Amino acid sequence: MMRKMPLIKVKNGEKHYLKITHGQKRQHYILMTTFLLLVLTGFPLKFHYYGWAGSTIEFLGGLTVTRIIHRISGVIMVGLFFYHWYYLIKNVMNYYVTPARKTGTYSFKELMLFMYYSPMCPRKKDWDDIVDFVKFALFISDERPKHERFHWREKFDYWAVFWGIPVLGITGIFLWFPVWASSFMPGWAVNISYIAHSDEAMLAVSVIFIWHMYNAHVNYDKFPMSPLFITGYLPEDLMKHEYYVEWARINNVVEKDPSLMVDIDKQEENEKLSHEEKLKIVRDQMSFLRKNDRGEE
Amino acid sequence: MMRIYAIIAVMVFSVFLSFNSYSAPTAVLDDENCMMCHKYPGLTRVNDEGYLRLFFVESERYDHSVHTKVKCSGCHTDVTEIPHKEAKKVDCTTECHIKNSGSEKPFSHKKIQDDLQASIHNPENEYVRAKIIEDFPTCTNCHNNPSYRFLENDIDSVSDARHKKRVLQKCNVCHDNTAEYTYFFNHVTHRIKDLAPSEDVVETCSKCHSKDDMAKKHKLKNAAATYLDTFHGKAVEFGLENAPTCIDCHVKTGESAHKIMSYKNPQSATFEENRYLACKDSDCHANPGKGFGTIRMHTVIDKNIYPVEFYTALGFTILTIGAFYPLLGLMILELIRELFPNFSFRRKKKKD
Repeated sequence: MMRKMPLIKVKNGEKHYLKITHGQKRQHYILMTTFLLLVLTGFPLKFHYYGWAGSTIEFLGGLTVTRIIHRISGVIMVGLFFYHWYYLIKNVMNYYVTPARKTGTYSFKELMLFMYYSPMCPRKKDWDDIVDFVKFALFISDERPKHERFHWREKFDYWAVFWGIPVLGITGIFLWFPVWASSFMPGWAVNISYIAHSDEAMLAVSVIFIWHMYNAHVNYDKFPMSPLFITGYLPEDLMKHEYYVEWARINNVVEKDPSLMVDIDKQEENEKLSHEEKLKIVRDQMSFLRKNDRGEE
Repeated sequence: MMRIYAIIAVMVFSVFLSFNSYSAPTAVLDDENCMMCHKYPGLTRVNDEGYLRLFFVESERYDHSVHTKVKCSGCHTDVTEIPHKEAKKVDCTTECHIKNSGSEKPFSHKKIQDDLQASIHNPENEYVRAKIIEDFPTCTNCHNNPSYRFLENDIDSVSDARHKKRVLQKCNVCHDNTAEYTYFFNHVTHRIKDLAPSEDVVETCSKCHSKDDMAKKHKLKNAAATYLDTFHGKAVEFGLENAPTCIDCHVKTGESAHKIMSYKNPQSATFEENRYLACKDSDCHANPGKGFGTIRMHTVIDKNIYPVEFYTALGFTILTIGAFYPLLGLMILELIRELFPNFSFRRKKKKD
């Protein structure tokens, strides 16, 4: 991971710190897109008694088209869910299990520690951060909690997906194939799926559109939009403000290995041509074309 | 080409009817001279109950109605002179002079009346919970002398065989199913536009079954509301073709819509062991088993009726409130903190 993306980029005189990788960004794009499509195609059915529901369905091409979009989006989202499990397991294998076994230093205890200290694993520090946050929010403390790469709010959003997608996926399949579902389940199970699918979607939308959107794109100086999900990097002031521990950790790593920091400003500066070099290129080109016109070899 | 076929079909149909109707094959006759008065739009009267009665008959509309071949006195049998006294309510079971297609018997809706009497829509039915006569439908509650649905400039290609089947099934409710008749109707219905749109069927049933007070009196659920909350209802609402309506489930295939029975009646289409058959006959669900019929279509979130559904909905409500509102509270707290970054409840130590 570190070999592909530098931990720090310097651009326009400002440092930008890596927070999410290319692979993670792509997964987020898919999740975001399918989520929006599912909401767009599902909520008109949930709130069918409002005027905008009919207009939305009509805009999308009618109910036949809408439900196809809904199902395709659902399948993609569930597929992403399973891919993400593969992604997690792959990372565990690549960054600990395989190297540890190759070097003969593998231990189950260390594997547990590796997973415990992985960026998204809930830890005791998260509870401490919550307490610190409440103190800060209630004007008891003047110090903000010093978060790591992913703070407790992001972990909440992350793990909520592991509850939401299975619930929505399973109930969605039952509603999509009710004949199959009723062949091995009582009929009321399909009715329950209908309720669960609808209400879980409502919960997800509430959390994502209000809680997640606020934390990701409104909180502090991020408004109107955080560049994180586009670039994968955050500016230094944001890192120090919200992810102080991660900011310190990255600085510590880069101090030991300066190659993990890329100064884009210097690169651009070095790539600039001097006036003499520009003239030389132009004159060489003109000379070549002139000789060609004269038929000279 | 389709238009030509349709015109030919109409011509054949007209010729067929002309051989079986009492009146001439041209426009509606008014040999009783009823239109002398009833052609005026302003012909009205306030009855003893205070309601305004409109006695205007729009000739053009009547000409295109299903009763166009029937004389006025064919239904208004108590009107024997002009001017006449207040006419009695029409008895739809009256035999008229129109000959039954395929036979020489006078036509009558009595068979329909008999079906209605045997259905759940009869206050004397054994399964009726509240025998409130005025709450039960009569002919005119659902039917209003509808126009023929086919118009020359309204031609559509009906390729779904289901429509033909439904048309003939409905015709066979009243008319004997003879080879000759089937031939003519098959020929004609090939060009006929769709049957009553799904929305119209739902709208008709909703006249009574969407009233909460009536449902309460009869110890029923609001069937219209619970239907519209299903995928079936939403499909109708959003214009999906061939979306199932009330009749598709509550009436057995090939039977009259007037024979709707209580779900407790073993002969009913909605009897628990029969429900899946309606789905089986549809083009929507392939090979449904008996278990499919146990899925509830008129679910209400009521602890006493459907406890499982009730507690599921309650659980998700608690989950939503329990998860979202604390998060919202934390968000508000942080917003307040950001607005007053230098404020603190802690006392600052005085400098010595």
